Amino acid sequence: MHISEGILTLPVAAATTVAVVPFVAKGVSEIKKKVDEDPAVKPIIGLVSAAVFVISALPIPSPVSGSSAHPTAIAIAAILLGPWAAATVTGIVLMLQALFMAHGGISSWGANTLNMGVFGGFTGYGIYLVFKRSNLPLWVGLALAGAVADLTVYFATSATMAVALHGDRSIIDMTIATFVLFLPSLVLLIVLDGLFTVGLFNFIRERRPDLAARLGIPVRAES
Amino acid sequence: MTGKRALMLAGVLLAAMVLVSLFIPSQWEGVDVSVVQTRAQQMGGTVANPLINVTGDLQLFMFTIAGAIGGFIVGYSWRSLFGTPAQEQREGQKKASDRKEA
Repeated sequence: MHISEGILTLPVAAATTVAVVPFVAKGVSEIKKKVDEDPAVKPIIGLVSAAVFVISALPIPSPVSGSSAHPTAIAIAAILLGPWAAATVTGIVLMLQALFMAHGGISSWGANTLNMGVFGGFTGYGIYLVFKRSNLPLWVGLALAGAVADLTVYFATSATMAVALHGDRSIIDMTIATFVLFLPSLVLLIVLDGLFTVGLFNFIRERRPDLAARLGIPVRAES
Repeated sequence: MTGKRALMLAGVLLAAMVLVSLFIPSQWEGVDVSVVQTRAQQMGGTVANPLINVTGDLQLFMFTIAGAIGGFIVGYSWRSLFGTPAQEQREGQKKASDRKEA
C-alpha cells in the first residue's frame, strides 16, 4: 500500500497532498478538542498511533501468494479516535515510515495518507456507524469495517498509480489490473484485520468500560 | 464474539500464515516491491531512492532508541491506559464510601 518515492508524477503528488491537508488539519483540531476536554485520552491517542505505526509496517506473509503485505488497522483507529483524528495519525505514521524506514516516500506522502487515512479510515468508520445504528450484529460490522477498509486502501493505491501513470491507457483498466495483483496477498490479511478490529474493540469494551465510554464506544456488550 | 476469542482467532490465523509461509519457497517479498514498484515500472514510472536511506546498524540504533522512548512513555501512562489493579480500585471505592458515611 506504500507508494514508493518517485513513482507519482508531480501533478498527482501535489494534488493528493493538497487534498489531504484539510483532513489532517481537521484531525489536529479534533485531537486538540478531545485532549482539552479530557487530558486522559492523550496516552490512548499515543498508543493507537503506535499500534497503527507497527501494524502498518508489519509484513504479514501470505501462503496464497508467497509474498507479504501490510495490514493497516485504520478501521479500528478511526472507530476509536474518530475518522478525522485517524487521518492525522496516519499522516504522522506515514511521514515517519517514509523518513526512516523507506516505506512510502515524501513525494508520495499525500497520496499514501489520502488512501489509507481518508479513504480507508472513513470507509471503515462508515461501515461501523451503519451497523451501530442498525439492529445488525455489531461484531459483523466491525469485521467488515476492518476487512473492507484494507481493501479500500489497496484499491485506492491502485487507482492513484493508474491516474499517475496511465498514459493513453484506460485508468479503470489500469486500476483493476493493479488491484488484481494485490488480491492474493490480501485474501487472508483482510480476515486477520477484521478479527483484530472485532477483538480490540470488544476487548476494550469488556475490560475497560470506563475507557470505552471516554472514547464514545457503546459499553453494553452486544455480541 | 468476545474480544478475547476474536484476538485468539487472529493470533491462531497469524501463526498459521507464518508457519505455512516458512515451509513454502518464498522470499516474503512485500507487495510494495512485488506489485507497487514492479507495476509502476511496467507502466513507465520510475522508482527513486528514499530521501533518508537508513541501513545497517543505524536502523537497529534508531529502532532501539524509539522502542526505549516509546516504552518509557507507555510505562509513565500505564495506569491511565490499562487501569489500576482491581484490588486498588476496590480499596479506592471503600475509602470513598467511608468518606461519604463520615
